[in-house]
Amino acid sequence: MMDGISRREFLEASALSAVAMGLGENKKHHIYSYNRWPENPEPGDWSFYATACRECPAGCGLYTWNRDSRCTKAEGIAGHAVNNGALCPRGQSSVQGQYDPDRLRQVARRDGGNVEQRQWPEAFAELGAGLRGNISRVLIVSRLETGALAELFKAFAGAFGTESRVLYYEPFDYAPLKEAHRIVFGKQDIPDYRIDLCQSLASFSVDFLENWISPVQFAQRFGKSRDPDSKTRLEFLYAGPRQSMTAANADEIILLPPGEEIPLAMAALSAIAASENKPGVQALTDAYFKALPGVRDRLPQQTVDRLARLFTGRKGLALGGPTGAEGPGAVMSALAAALINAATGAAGALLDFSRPHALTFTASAQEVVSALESADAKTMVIFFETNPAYDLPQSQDLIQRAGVSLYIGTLPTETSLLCNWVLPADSALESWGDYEPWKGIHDLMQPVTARLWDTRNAGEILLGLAAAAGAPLSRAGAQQPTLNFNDWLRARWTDIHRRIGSISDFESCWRQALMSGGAIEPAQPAPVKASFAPDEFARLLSQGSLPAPHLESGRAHLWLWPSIMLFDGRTANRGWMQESPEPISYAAWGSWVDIHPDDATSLEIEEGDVVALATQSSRITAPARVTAEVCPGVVALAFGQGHTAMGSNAAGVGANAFLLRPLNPEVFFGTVAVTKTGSRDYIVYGSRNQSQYGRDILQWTDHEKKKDEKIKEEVVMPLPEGYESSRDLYPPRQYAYHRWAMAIDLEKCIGCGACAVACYAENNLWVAGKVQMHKGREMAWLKVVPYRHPREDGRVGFLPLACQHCDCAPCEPVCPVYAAVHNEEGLNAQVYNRCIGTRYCSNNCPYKVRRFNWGRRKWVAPLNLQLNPEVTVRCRGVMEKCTFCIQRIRQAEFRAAREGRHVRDGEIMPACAQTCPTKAIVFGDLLDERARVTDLFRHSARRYQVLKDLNTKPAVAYLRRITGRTPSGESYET
Amino acid sequence: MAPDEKHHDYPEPTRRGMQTRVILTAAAVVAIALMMLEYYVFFRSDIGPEQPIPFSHRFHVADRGLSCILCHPGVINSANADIPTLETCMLCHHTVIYYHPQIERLRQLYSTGRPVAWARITQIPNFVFFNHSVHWRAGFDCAVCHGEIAQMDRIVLQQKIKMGFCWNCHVKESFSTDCLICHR
Repeated sequence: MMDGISRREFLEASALSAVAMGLGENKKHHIYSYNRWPENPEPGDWSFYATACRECPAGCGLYTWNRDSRCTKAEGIAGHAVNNGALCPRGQSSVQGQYDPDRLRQVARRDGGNVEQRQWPEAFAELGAGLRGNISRVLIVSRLETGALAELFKAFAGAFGTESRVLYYEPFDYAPLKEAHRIVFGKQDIPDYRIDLCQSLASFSVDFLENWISPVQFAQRFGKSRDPDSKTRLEFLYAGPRQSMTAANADEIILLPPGEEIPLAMAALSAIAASENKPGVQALTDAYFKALPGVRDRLPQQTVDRLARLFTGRKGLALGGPTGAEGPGAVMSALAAALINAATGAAGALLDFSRPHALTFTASAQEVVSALESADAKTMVIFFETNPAYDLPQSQDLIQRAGVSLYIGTLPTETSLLCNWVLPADSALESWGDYEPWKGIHDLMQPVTARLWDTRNAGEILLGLAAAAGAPLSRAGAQQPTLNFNDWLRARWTDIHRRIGSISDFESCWRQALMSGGAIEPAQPAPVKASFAPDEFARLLSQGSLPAPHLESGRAHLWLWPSIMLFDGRTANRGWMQESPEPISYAAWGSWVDIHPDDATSLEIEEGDVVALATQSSRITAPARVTAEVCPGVVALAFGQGHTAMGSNAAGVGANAFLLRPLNPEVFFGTVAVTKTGSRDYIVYGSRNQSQYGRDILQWTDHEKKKDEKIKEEVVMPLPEGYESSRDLYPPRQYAYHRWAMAIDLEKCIGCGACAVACYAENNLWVAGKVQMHKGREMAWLKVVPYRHPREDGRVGFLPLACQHCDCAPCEPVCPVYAAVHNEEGLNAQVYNRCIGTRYCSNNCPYKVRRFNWGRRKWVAPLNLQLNPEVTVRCRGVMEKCTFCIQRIRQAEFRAAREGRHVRDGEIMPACAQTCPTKAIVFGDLLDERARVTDLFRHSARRYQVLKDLNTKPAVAYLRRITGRTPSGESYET
Repeated sequence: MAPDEKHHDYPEPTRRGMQTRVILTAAAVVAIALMMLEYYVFFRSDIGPEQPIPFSHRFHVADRGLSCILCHPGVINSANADIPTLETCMLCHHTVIYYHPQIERLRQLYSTGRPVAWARITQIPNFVFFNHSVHWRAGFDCAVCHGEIAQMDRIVLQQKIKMGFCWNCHVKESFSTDCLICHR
């Protein structure tokens, strides 16, 4: 209580405020009419626009929910060739990127430390004069582009100097994979991996469910081939240095030092070659083990056999060449996998070269560095939406060598701070454009929302620059110069339309593409023939060697990996991405170094001690996370943090792993010196603990037992039939129309966390920030907690836990103001305007899914434009939680009422269920006997309810995770 | 302070406390006076606020027989009833009373692409989600909530839209009284 104010004064002040409120009510509110009807009518109703997701090179189809011409939510396009309705967490966050308060807003000219604001015409005039004058060479370094913009880049480079080049730079360029495929198949391509068609899978450190080529697509395929109801269950073995999210979904994980998976793969290849009778391959493996004496003998024979067995008599696929790794070691890893695929005959059907991925066209980091090195005063370097100063530290000093450096992009990145000119570009959601993720699969991008600031499309900028330089560009085959980018795009799509050979005219095809998100050209079959070139192989062998099995004390193998939330760091300024915990460690808002307990003991490092990792040229520090989920002798660190620029959420958080990445290492990422710095820091975790304390929250079942009727146990139905007088205190609840419920298949859940981010986007969840999150005040209504198996080491399951909408909800009777009430359709309603914030409900909730809003922060403009108008924006002091997306339920119910019918099963998709790549979440009405959720609730052999003994009668049924093959328990020794 | 006075209910009024109290009371008196002034002098009329363009619902609906949904089509399918676009006005007024000065203004706004800032009559708080379409489908006349609009020139809210009003009707008509019907 404040000093000096008595109770009476307080009451007087309250009365005064009440009067003030009464006066305030007479304020005149205005309501604005449209001048003309917008194209899509119904202001105050949703409209949808299809475009493509450009958060990574995967090129998923995306549409946005638009309300009053602002986009509030991104969702995958159902039926799209790449993602078929799903999105990853980063794709979900694209709307937050659109409304990022730190976005570039104005043209700026930087001269030394001096920054001046400029207008667009001035910029065009000055840069045009430069291009007319002494600039004789243009170097365009862009993120991966394939469509009209790529054509434009090429034309622009061609117009200004014969030496000009366009480099598509991605920090994860897959150069080793391309090199391996060139050696084995004679094609420098990235093929399509048909995980949905294979029966067994071996991944050599490849995290294909998180960040490898096209993760959403692969996750969907994985989910499909892992469907517990199908006849054959995909068997999946993972060999790598760190237990990643992908590894957690494997039947068996072999933790080994980086590079050790190569001899393992070669030994398996040798066994496969023997059984498939491939003497050419056999000769290669013999040469390999001859070059590395003693290696074959130290491989555990059982492991080799198990690995080889995956490929004998079954359609197996091997994945090699981990994300972000460069150099001969990575090539060897990719090569070993490619050789296995070639030897087993997977190439062609399971390894489909008919539609190579766009990543085929990326330039390697080495090429970018040497191109920048060659820049001189007569060179103009143009960066488009790429950040080499951050993710290619070797290029940092080279950027200013160029006479003119130009940054075209949306965020003030490390690179933009080094450039002479910064031109703010439209975001992907504001742009026209196209992208071709797989050859012949075209995504068409349209502006789904109007531009927020005075920005321009990158295409318009280049066309404008060329025109200002007196050399207007025209598309190949065009008579007249192309004056705007839309014409260029339409001209390109006229060609695509012709190639597709559609019978309808261009205009209707164009409209169709705008509505469906793109068009597909028929694939050209690409037969592949494997050839095993021994000389190439020998050359590689001479370059690459194995890491020393025992390192001197204080040194460790470095393992760098991209997390699913931050990828290469381009999404680091988004609150949702920072606050969404990484799936396995469940840590957020920072970097941490994974270190094995044995190493930690010998270095006297404890959890939270800040350790320094140093290579010859650079050093980073981060707190240690002591875990047995990395191989002994390995330290693991995630990419994506440690920005010095970019904005308020990214700058200064964590450490930049790219600083440690060598350009040409012997094996993957080389080794580092590990030292304890003496200071301590904390890691922010999204859950207090990942142990289950023997409560069997997440349950596993054996693969063999899954169909066994005997393990079927009663689920207490959250319906009147679940009432039993001996057990229940309250009378049964009656439902007249619906009883909403959810079934979550834990076997299908891969733990990606897209559902949790979708929930942030849909339900206006507040981003707490690092400090508040450390106090456990994050608002995530849905958490996907990685629980460890109570008995089997190394086995992890993911439990998406949101409000269980219990029939006998413990939160309801304790609320003193009836803010937590049961609704007519079974939902556990939280009435925000009634809630006074006692938090009794949260204390009484056994699932701990209620979140108290501690936020005092306002939505920084323009982030408020992202808010869903159908959901109340809660203020501080209110308890909130999952509502099963009541706004979507109401929307569907009202639509059904208007159309005079019942709500159909599957018509209502909560945001979490909608975005799930493996479709693990099923939502529906338990009163509908034919609903899928009813079937799973009543008949699935794997169903269970979390903490069923408490008799809360949850309306969420979980289907047990399948353990698959039991790990043999033998340790991998080197 | 003596130890036995420690738990005294009311502390002795200090000089500062007295001052605060006098100021607060004076402020309250002034505020109430202002409020009364506002209510009884400035807003004495009960014919509703003045609109930027004097549109008469009585004339258009009762006199000329236009239907509500001609200008407010959103009631059929949408949560919002829609405020008519100026284009809708111009459907008729590009010929009807073309030279009227207010129509002249309307036309000017229409041709320059500007909206009209109408004074808002009906408003619900932002934690209440009302859907026109379901109420319209259930056969409710607009007048149930909006009053006899067809008889008004300037619109005045005859019925305060408060939770009790919604609730009573939902109970009387035995509709859902689920909290989540309106609050989410």
